[in-house]
Amino acid sequence: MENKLILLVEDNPDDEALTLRALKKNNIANEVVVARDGVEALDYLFGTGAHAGRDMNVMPQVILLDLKLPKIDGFEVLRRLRADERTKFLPVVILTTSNEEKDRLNGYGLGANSFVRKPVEFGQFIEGVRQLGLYWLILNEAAPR
Amino acid sequence: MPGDEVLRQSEERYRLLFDSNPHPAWVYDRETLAILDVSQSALRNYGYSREEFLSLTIKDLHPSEDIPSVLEMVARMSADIRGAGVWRHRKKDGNLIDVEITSHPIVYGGREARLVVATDITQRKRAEEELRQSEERFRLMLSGVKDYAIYMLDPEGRVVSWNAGAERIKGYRAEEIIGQHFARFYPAEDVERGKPWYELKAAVQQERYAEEGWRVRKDGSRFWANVVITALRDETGQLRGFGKVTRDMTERKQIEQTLQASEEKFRSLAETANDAIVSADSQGNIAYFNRAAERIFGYFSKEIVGQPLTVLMPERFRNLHRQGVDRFLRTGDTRVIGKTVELAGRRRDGTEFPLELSLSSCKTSDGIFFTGILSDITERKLTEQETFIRTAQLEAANEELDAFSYSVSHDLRAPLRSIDGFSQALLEDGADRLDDQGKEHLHRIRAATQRMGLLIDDLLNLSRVTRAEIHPGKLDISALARSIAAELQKTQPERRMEFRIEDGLETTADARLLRLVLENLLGNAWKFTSKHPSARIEFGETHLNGARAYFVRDDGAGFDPAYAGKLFGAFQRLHAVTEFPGTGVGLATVQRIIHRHGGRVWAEGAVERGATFYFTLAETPS
Repeated sequence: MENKLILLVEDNPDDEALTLRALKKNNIANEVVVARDGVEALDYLFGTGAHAGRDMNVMPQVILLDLKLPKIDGFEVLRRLRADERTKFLPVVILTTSNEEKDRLNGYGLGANSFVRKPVEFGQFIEGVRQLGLYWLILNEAAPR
Repeated sequence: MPGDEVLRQSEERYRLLFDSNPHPAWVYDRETLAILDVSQSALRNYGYSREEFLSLTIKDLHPSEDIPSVLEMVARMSADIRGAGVWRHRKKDGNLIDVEITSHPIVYGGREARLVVATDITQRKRAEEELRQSEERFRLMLSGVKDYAIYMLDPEGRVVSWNAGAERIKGYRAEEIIGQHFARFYPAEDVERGKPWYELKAAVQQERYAEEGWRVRKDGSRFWANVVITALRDETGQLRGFGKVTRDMTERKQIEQTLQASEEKFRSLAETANDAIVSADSQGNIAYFNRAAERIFGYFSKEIVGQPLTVLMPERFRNLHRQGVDRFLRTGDTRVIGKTVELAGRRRDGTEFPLELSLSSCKTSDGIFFTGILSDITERKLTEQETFIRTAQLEAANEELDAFSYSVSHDLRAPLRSIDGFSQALLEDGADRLDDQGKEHLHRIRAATQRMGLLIDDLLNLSRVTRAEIHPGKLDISALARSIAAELQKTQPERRMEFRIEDGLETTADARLLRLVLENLLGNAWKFTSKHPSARIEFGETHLNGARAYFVRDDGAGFDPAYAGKLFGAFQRLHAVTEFPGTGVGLATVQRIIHRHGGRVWAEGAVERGATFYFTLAETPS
């Protein structure tokens, strides 16, 4: 799993900690880059702002994207990276608290690959993260670059 | 004067009288019947010359078929008696004439003879015949008239003639009524007042008396009669009797009464109507103004009738109105007739108000009339405005509710995840530093957190059900129930459960929402039978008070019917969470969905006797 990094876009530090814990519990040792709002996520993906000059050959294997984010929300992040040649095939898993129909519709409409609702029960969350890691980091073959 | 001279003079006088008589005259021999002398008038009338006439016998003056009776008459006639009679004579040209004959015995040239004077009565006889025929025709006509009773009275009022109409209308046959006094045709009270005699007197004085009033038939029934009595006099002015013509007007009277009643009904209706009713003639002048119109416009009917309609309109509408009326009268263009339009009215005090007007026109013998029904819609306008504002407020509130629900689903669940997640982390990472009681507390925290998560989810579902649009469609409700039953069995394959699901039940409903209903009801049945080693759940259709109802029945824990009313309230539970899990929102959700389908849901049950939930669906869900 070398170099297969995960971009976690999450503004809630609790959720960030719990997600990282769930990854660890599942022995997923991939590098995790955390962006705490939409701007930061886009800066990382396009090598701008705080991430200017980073090695653009390194792209995340999967993006775990929250929807409610400060500054630029998850939908906008999704829209912009789908619109860019460099990022349009990156797998995006929307990881959110909501299960509103309109959010799901909007998410898939903008080209999300998965929509996962974070359960309240932590055991279920760990199981969910395990399956996500298994699928997106091991089973899934990324688009050729 | 010598005797010859006397004789000659007498002869001349006779000749003068004989020839100057305008009626034909001749002398014939009683024995030979030969004509002995003839007058100028006879020659002129019968067309013979003197020589010809003097060569005839009286037999030649009669048509041959009359000759035997002529001879008989001559034979019977005694010599000295003056004779008279009506005979037919034949003229030289063969034409027959009627003549009245008078004959006197005379001695002519020493012979026993008779002087005959013949008066031509052909014209008179023809006139008499015509009169007789005309009278006969008239009599036949009168007797045949059925719609009018036509009969005659003598001067005292006794019936002397009777026609078919009289028989039909009054019910008497001619032979039973002729000779009877006509007072019997009047009601007793009129007879008492002397009405029949008064009417005859009036007819005598005025020649003719006409009236309408009640009359009595033979069978005692009354009818409304139109009566004309005419005094009949002979040429000397002597009263000979009365002609009476009577017509049965009962039907017309009834029509008139019905018409009057209907008009009164309309009037009272119009007077008690809440809406203003205003009629105007084709000139646009007010002809009728009801009480509501008085109230609404502030004018009295008696002061406004006759005034132009435009008085009731604000200045700016007056020209438009005049143009409209002109157009209608000119072209019959009924732009507003029969429609309801919103306009403004003007009260007596000059204030304006919004009104709704529906206009109709009708053609009467007095010309075209327009009738408008107007209602003051000031309040409705206000209500409309209020409704508009309230709708806007409601829409805003709904939007807020949407935002609130979204926020609940996001922001309220996130902290719960933290509490649960970190409690779990603490249990794992700090296990060696926590005693059993500490671990137990953490477990309780986690259980409560997860329960709150469920509550939030159920609440969101309930609010979604309330707001969701309904998309009705054909639905195989039996198949739906079977698929849910199969899913339930899969969650606990070890449970011994008998599902009895009636086949072929179809309805029209929103499939997604009805799935929620059955998931809740069958899920409840599954849950509340869980304490029994084996159980049965039924789904089927039944008819209650003629309405189709579906039911879900189980033989599980049931409920205390005293609390049946609480079953469907949100967060209402009849069992402890420790006994049966749940949030108490499921049945509230079911009820919302059923209500939104125009149906009803209710339950029957008893403790440890199972429960049955019934629901109905409207044919077309709203």
